[in-house]
Amino acid sequence: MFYFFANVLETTLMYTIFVLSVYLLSGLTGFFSLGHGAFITIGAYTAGLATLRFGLPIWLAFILAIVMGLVGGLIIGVPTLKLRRDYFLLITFGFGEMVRALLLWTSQLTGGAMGMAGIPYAAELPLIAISVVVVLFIIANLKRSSFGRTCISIRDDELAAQAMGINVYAHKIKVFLLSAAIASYGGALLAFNMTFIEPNLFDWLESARLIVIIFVGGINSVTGALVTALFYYSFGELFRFANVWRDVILAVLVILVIIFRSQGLFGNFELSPKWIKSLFNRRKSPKRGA
Amino acid sequence: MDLLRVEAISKNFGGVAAISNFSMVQPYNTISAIIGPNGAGKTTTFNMISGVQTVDTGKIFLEDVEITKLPSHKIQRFGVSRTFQNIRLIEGLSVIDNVKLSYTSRLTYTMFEEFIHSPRVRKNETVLEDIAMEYLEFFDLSKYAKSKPKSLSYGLQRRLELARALMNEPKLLLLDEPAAGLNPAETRELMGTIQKIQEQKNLSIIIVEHHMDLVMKICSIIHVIDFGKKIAEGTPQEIIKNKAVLQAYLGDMGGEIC
Repeated sequence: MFYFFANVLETTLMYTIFVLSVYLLSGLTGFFSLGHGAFITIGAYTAGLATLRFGLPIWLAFILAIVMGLVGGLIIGVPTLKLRRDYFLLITFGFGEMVRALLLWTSQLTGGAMGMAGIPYAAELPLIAISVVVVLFIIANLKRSSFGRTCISIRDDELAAQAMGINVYAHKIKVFLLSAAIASYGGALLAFNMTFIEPNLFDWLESARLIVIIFVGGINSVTGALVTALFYYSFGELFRFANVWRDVILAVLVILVIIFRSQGLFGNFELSPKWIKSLFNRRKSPKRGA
Repeated sequence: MDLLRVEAISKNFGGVAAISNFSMVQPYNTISAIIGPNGAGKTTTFNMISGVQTVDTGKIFLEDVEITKLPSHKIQRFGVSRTFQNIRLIEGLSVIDNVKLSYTSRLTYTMFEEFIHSPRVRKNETVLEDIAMEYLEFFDLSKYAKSKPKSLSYGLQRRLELARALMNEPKLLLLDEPAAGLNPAETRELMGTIQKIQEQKNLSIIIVEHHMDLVMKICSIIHVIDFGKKIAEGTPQEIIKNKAVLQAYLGDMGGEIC
């Protein structure tokens, strides 16, 4: 039973990393990528290939996965981030499918549709949990400083951002690369946790789901992305029999959120030490507000 | 040396000349205006100076450095700030964060320091917070610091945009129809504010405007454009008497003012 829950937690946390990586790109900066799964696949396959085919140590596999994610991000990001958002979305969609086709095509190396089995089991719960905390820490820090403000300004009004002295294009590339790096690191974790990977690991539907989760949670709230991701993925894992229903619930939630709470479930709320403190203060002295 | 020198700039939109052969010189510490009827090419001129639109022919110099081909974010870093005709505030950011935004290029910390929120980031952010607060106080906006720009009235949003434009300590401030949508009382207040800014911050201001009394009272040089061509330049007194201007721009109103 313990293993079952540990397993659920591992999977949930890994997906949370993916959601957080997309939060940076879609939530904060307003760019939608339907090919974000490609970075996860790239990370997973790099990790798998590095250990299985080239016999490299695990830590090096992680670094290589991040590097490959960055390379992929550069190849796609540099020519497309100057385009309008809708074209960017289409191109990333194509990129995702391209990566999938490439993996099937190079079957001698990657095992093609048969997938790649026997990857060493190296990513256990502590490592995954620490990774989530670190990624969360980085994103929360970025959001509250100049980086986050710049992201939001690009999301809301690129022209105004440019007139405020912000190099919009350069910043978009930064965001995209960072997001790609986090996603491919998460992909490597996934490979080392599941020990089996295949090209259809992460199709565009899965990428779209990541974006939807962010919108349900609220684009201005990292907490929202985190909580919604934890809830959505653990629900699916815990109630396998009701797996189909979680998408139904998500779909209903999306409709309700769009109609009644367009800023997302969490709006501008962020869970911070300050907030927790204020909660306690309120309990101690109820008259404080009056 | 003049602050800004515009040499015969032109811009065509598919055969229609939005502005052709426009030249002007902006000295230090002056307020000047570009006026003209709707569609005369005033905003296009502004967009070219601030780098939002590219220049077809001609050259623009800021303190004898050519800025013709630079993108707008670089021009802002050279010390040219602008406001927009239709207010462009960032809705997702609070009032104070909007002001902080135009200071971004001057911050010295790197992205990797932001990852861990290093002491240098913390120090920079505290200083930035103080500076931004100063500017908000200057415009009497400090009590709205934490609210979203959407919750402010139109006049306050205009003031916030001014605060944001001043935050990077510009040498040249471009105001695109700052009085648009303001009532007479607010317009009068704005005139006072613009003069106060000019005196206290020692900068040069160019205004594109329709409100004639605002322009006549606070500007020392006026450039008049009609159908993409400059038809007159001079002090308000000279402009009022200029026949071409009366005909082209003021029309019937000419009699009223004189």
